[in-house]
Order: sequence, then C-alpha cells, then structure tokens
Amino acid sequence: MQTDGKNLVDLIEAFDWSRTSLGAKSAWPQHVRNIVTLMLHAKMPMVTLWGPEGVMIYNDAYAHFASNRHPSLLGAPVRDAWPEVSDFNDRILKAVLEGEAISFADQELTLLRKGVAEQVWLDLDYSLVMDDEGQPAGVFAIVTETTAKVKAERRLADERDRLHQMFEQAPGFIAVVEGPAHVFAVTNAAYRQFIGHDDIVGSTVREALPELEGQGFFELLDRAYATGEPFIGSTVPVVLKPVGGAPAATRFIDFIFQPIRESDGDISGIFVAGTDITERIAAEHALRVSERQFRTFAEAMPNHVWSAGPDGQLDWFNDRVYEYSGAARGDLDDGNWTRLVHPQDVADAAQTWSAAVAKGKTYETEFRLRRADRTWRWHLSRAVMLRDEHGAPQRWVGTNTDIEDQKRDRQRLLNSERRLRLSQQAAGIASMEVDIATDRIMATDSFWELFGLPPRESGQAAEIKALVVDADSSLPSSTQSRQAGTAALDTTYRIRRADTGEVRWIARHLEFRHGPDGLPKTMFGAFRDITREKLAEERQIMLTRELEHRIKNILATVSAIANQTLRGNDIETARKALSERFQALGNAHSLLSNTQWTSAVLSDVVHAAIAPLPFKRITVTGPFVQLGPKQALSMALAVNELGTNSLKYGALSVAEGQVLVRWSKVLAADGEDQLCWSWSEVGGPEVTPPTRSGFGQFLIEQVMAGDFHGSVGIQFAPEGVECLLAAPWPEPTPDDQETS
Amino acid sequence: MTLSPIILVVEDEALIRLSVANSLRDLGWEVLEAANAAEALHAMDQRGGISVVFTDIDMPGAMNGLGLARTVSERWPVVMIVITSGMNEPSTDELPAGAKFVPKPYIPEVLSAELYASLRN
Repeated sequence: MQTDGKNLVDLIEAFDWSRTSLGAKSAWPQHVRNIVTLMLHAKMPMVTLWGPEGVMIYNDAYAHFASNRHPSLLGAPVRDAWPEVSDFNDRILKAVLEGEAISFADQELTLLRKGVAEQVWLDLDYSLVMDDEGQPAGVFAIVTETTAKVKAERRLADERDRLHQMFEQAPGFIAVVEGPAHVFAVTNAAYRQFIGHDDIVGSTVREALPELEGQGFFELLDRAYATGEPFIGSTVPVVLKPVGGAPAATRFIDFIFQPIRESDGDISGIFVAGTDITERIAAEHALRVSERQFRTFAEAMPNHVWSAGPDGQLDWFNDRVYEYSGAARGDLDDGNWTRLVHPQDVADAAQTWSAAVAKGKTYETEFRLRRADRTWRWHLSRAVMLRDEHGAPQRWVGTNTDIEDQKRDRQRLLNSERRLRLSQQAAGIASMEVDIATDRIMATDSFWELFGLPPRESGQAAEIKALVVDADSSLPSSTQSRQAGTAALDTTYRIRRADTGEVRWIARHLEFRHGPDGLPKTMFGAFRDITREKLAEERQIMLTRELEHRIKNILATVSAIANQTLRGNDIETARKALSERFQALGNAHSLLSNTQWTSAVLSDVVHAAIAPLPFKRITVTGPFVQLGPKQALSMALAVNELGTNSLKYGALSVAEGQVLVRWSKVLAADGEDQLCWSWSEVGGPEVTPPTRSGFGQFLIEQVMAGDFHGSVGIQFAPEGVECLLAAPWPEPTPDDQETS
Repeated sequence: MTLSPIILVVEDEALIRLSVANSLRDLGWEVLEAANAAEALHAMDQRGGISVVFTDIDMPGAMNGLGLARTVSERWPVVMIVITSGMNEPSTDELPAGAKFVPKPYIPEVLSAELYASLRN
C-alpha cells in the first residue's frame, strides 16, 4: 500500500478502523480523538498504542522514522507491526498499561526498517493514556532516534580511549598536577615506572615524592604555577627512591614543566613531560672514557697509531707519527699521510687499504715511511676495524711498526744462508736436521739427492736408514742413540742410492742441540758423498801395496843376482859383472817406468841393453811387440849376458865381428802365434864351448825361458854363438806383474 | 859326507829358486828344485826321504802353493811344510795343520836355522 504522499491525517481518515479493536473512527471515544489530534499536530515522532493489542496510530514524524514500514504499521497491533522487537514492545505495553511510566535514553534496538537489520539508538518515553472513567486505555510514546548522536559519542569515546592509550603508552613520562599543591591528576606508565610508585593520583607531589625535597623540583613547580612560565630542564640529575626498598638511584632527565592555562586565563595545573636519558648519558660517558683510554693508550705506544673512519679516511695520528715524520698536526689529514709513503710503495699500500676498507677485513702491508731526516724506513702497517655491539663498522685503528732492522737482519740472514748454501754446494755438503722426538728430517734438496731420493720438505729418519748397506747398518745414528745423544759424531758408511742402486760412501758429521731438560732435542747433520775419495784412497792403498811388492821383487831379483854373481868369482870380476847386470836391470826399469810398469817394447829393451856395447855392429830387426815387466827384465839381462860374453870371446871381441838380433812372429804347430827371437854372432873368432855352465848362461836359459814361458837354447857353433828363444807371442797384461 | 836333510824348493821364478837353492846347499841342505806344483809332486813321488817342502804360494799351473801344501800334508803327513809369499799372509785355516809360513823376503841363513830346529823337534 502506497502512501502516495498522503499525510497521516488523510491516511487515518481513509483507514477502515472497524477492522481493529479500536472500532470505527466515528465511534472513537473522546480521549482517543483528543490524543490523536494532539499527536498529529506534534513535530516529534509520536505513536499511540490502543488497547491490550496496542493498535498503532502515529504521526508524520513517526512515519518518517518507520521509513519503509509505514504505512503498514497503521492500525496494526504493535507486536505484529515490529516482529523483530515484539518481546520488547510486549513488555512495555503490559507494564505501562498497569500504570508504570517508562522511559529509555539511547536504547539500542535492531530494526528492519528498510528490509535490512539496522542498529538504532532511541530515546523512548512511554506514558499511560486513561479513558474517561480513568481506566487504562492505551500507551502514548514519544520516539526520538539518537543513532547519529550515539555514534558520534562513540567515536569521541574511542578517540579518547586512543588518546589515553597513547598517553599511557608514550615512551616519555607524562603527568598532570593540579592546583597550587600540585596534586597528581593523571600519570602515564612511563611516569609511574620512572618514579617507582604506583597509585599516586590524588596525592600532592610533596606527599608522593618526598625524596625530591632539596633537589629543586618543588620550587620549579611552584614557580611555574605562580608565573605560568614553562620550565625546560636538560640532563638534570634526579635522585628517586622507588617503593619496595630498591636503593635510591640518580637518573638523568630532560623534562618540561608546562603550566596549563584554562580558558579564563587562570593556571589550573602543570603538564609534566620528560625523558629518562640516564642510559644515553652512561653510554656517552662510557664512549668518552673509552675514547680517552684509547688516546692515552695510543699515545703511550712506541708504535705509530692512527685511526680512520669506516670510510677509510684517516682522521687521527698519535704523537709518534708526528715525531717520526716531522709533520705538524693537521699536515697528515685529508689523505695527506700518503706523502710519507715511499713513491714506489704508495700505489700498493693504497690499493691494499682500499680493499681492506671495502671488505672490512684486517689490513696488513709493508711500506717505507719517510723519517724527518728524509731517510726511508720499512714499516709494517696493520689495522683492524672496530665494530659496535651490533656489528656496525665504527672506526679503524691502525699501527705502523718500524721493521727496518728486522728486515735488514732478515736480509743478512738470507745472505748468510745463501753463502752457507753456496759453500755447501761447492763442498758437496748436504745438511739436515732431525727432530728427535718424531724422527722427522728437515733437509736441503741436496741431502735427498745425495741418497737418490726426490727432493721434499721433510721425511723420516727410517727412510735414510733403510738405504744404508747391511754391513754398515750399525754405523748411522739410531732413534735410541739420537735420544740418548750417544750417536757417533763422525762416521762414514755406505749406502745404496734409492734411484740407481749404486753403492756410495757417505761421510757425515753430527751436532746435537739440547732442550731445556738437557736432553737432545734436535740433531744437525752435514753429509758428503766421499765415494771418489774412498776409491782414490783404495787405489792409493793398492798402488802402495803394488809398489811394495814390486820393490820386494826387485830386491829379491837384485839379491839373487848379487848372490849368484859373487859365488866363485874374484871380487873385481864380480864387481864388474854386477855393475853390468844392475845397469841392464836399471835400463829395463826405466823403460817400464814410462808405462807405469805395465810393458816395454822389445826393440827398446834390446837397444837399451846393447847401449854399453859396440852397438853399431849389432843389427836389431823385428816387428813391434810389447813385453811384460818380467820379460823385459829377463830379456835385458839375457842381452847383457850375451853381449858381455861376445865382447870377451865372441864376435864383438874383434873389429869385423857382427851380431844380428832378430825376431818375428811365426805360427806354431799348435796354431798359436809364437815369438822367435835370436842372437846370432858372425865374423868372430872360432867359438869353443864353455867347460861349465855359468850364472850368465843360467840367466839366459833358465830365467828368460821361465819368464817367457818358452824355451831357450844356446848353440856354441865354431862360426859364432847363437841363442834362440821360442815362446808364446807376448801379450802383457797388468796381472803379469802380480806373480812373484 | 854326512847325510844331509832333503828340502824341496818349489818356486816358479828361476832366479829366485836358484838363489835360495844355492844358499840352502851352502848351508848343508840337499836341495831339490821344482818350478810348479806338478813338478813338486813328481819329485815327491820319485824321491823318498824329503824332510821339508818349501813352496811359494803364487805359481802358474793348475795348483798353487797352498794346494800343493794340502796335498803334501795329506799324502806325506810327516813332511814339514813351509810356505812363503811376498803377498799377504794366508789365514791359518788356509794352511794345512802344522804348516809354517815365512814371509818374503827371508834371509836364507835364518830360514835354515829355523828349519833345522823344527826338524830336531
């Protein structure tokens, strides 16, 4: 049913009231008519509920309030009309009809005025309407919607709560004191926590915080209250005595006392706000102390000390830097310190520094710094990044340490080591050291090479020991003899080289270094390969023995010749013969000496032997052949005997006599080469054979035959003496001289 | 002529052999000579009554002086054996039991006197 813009007067007129318990409008009692008329003229939303059913009649303002529910509400029992609040209306209706007046302020209800649930707040005022007989007839209600007002109030309350929360939770402390006695009106949590008291609202400042007496705060409050001038305090110490027996403590605060001026200009109280800065003060103080300590320490250091910001800009140097460089304070700032660095080192130093700053890693480099006397000295520069407790870079602290002397010493040591190494190389000496506790060897490359091992940093003593030949295994030091320090200090032994298996002689010298406990700690060894010396020594021994042997042989030969020559001869004859024989021996010796006593050429032996004879009448022909030492000697003796005999009795005793000495190589019946040697005399006097065989003949026949392992025959033919030697073709070997 | 003891001188070098043989003869020995071990054994076989074999060690041939000494000591145990050498003295286990060693050079008179003394014992 549409209202069609009709007002309630018309709608009530048009409504068929006979269908309601109120009955037709024409039959309405006077009190109903009066009330309805009153209501329809009123501008406030009004409604009347008639009879126990509460039949609704309302005015235009109420219709506006009911919105879409109007006009179906008209003439409807109230419980059916607002089913969403039927209980509420039922209770009201019954109570008011029984004589109770009811009113509500800002009653919250949920209504379905536009088809959706809607929270509304209403001021409701219900009063009883009585009929002419004074009996309850209905309820008259004034309905005022306060939803907008309630919502606004709620918003304000929320705002207030938020503000209160903010106030309460503000990090700074806040309080308001009122009146000349400064009565606490409000405090926030920070304030209560700061003063260490709860529940001081209502107390005066002097009551709540008696410990402030004498600290000046009361006086300041009084003055602010009296003058209206705010007071701002900065870093003000305050001693507070918290409840609960905690000790009084001095805190530092920044604060303001701001008088509160009312609209009438009077001062009602003081707004107190502030911040506890005790921790900050302590941190600043600690930093100042730390800074002072650092400076003091840095100035006490013998080194150069400097500092730089996290960006790497050097900002402070200790006095040592200025003393060393002769620079004035400020001269080194803004990167000018690099002028102290040697031009050849500055690029490297700057690069290393930049890299360290970029990574925040420890900086370390070496460079030369110019001293006030313009000399350059090497310094070791180190810097570390200091960080705060959160790890954020704070500053660099750096030092420069003069290492000129160490560097020079190091160079000297290097030079000395180099000299030692060179001299060891020249002398073929390899050196090593053994850590006695572990048997670990540290050695030069040459040491390992000596043993045919690949060069390495270190090795085990057992490795070396394993290379010593079994027969010499007791000679090197052992773990026990090293630990006891009883190893022979000098020894020689043989090793078998690890690479070639070759046996070499090693000479080594030891020295022990003892630990603080007096026990050997380190063993130093110098090693040398003495194989060549050993071989030379052995060869020397052999040569000496050979020489001795040869001398013995010579003496035996000489002794035998002397004995035999002296037998049965007069002294003069014997002397001459002996002289000739020794001469022959001597000549042959000279020839042998030329070949280190290995051999002599037959023609040389013959020529030497005939030298004392009229050799122009002696023809010597024969091929080149070498004789062994003994053969050379016996040939010399034989030629001497034949020659002296010929000179006395044979061809050489006359001017026209000739001697032919010839030899040749012939092939014997057994297929072996043979030496055929002969002495043939021609043109001499007629030969008569000797009556007895003398020593000379013995030398020729026996001795020469024996030494040539052949046969010798002497023919005393009348036309001339002839001596023939047939022997294996001589091929002297060194062993020939060894037989005795 | 008194009966002389017989000594066999074994020496490959003729000059030395002649010299020592002659010296020993002068000192009253009857001397037989051999230039090597084979000749020496031949002489031992041929001629009994040899009291002493005086041999050099180093000699050419299949057997040297030490080999000869061992053979002689086995076959003719009563024969006194004297060994000489200009080289190193052989060790005692190389010598047959009872054999003497005389290093070269030796003096024939001293050698002879010692041999006589040994023979008398």
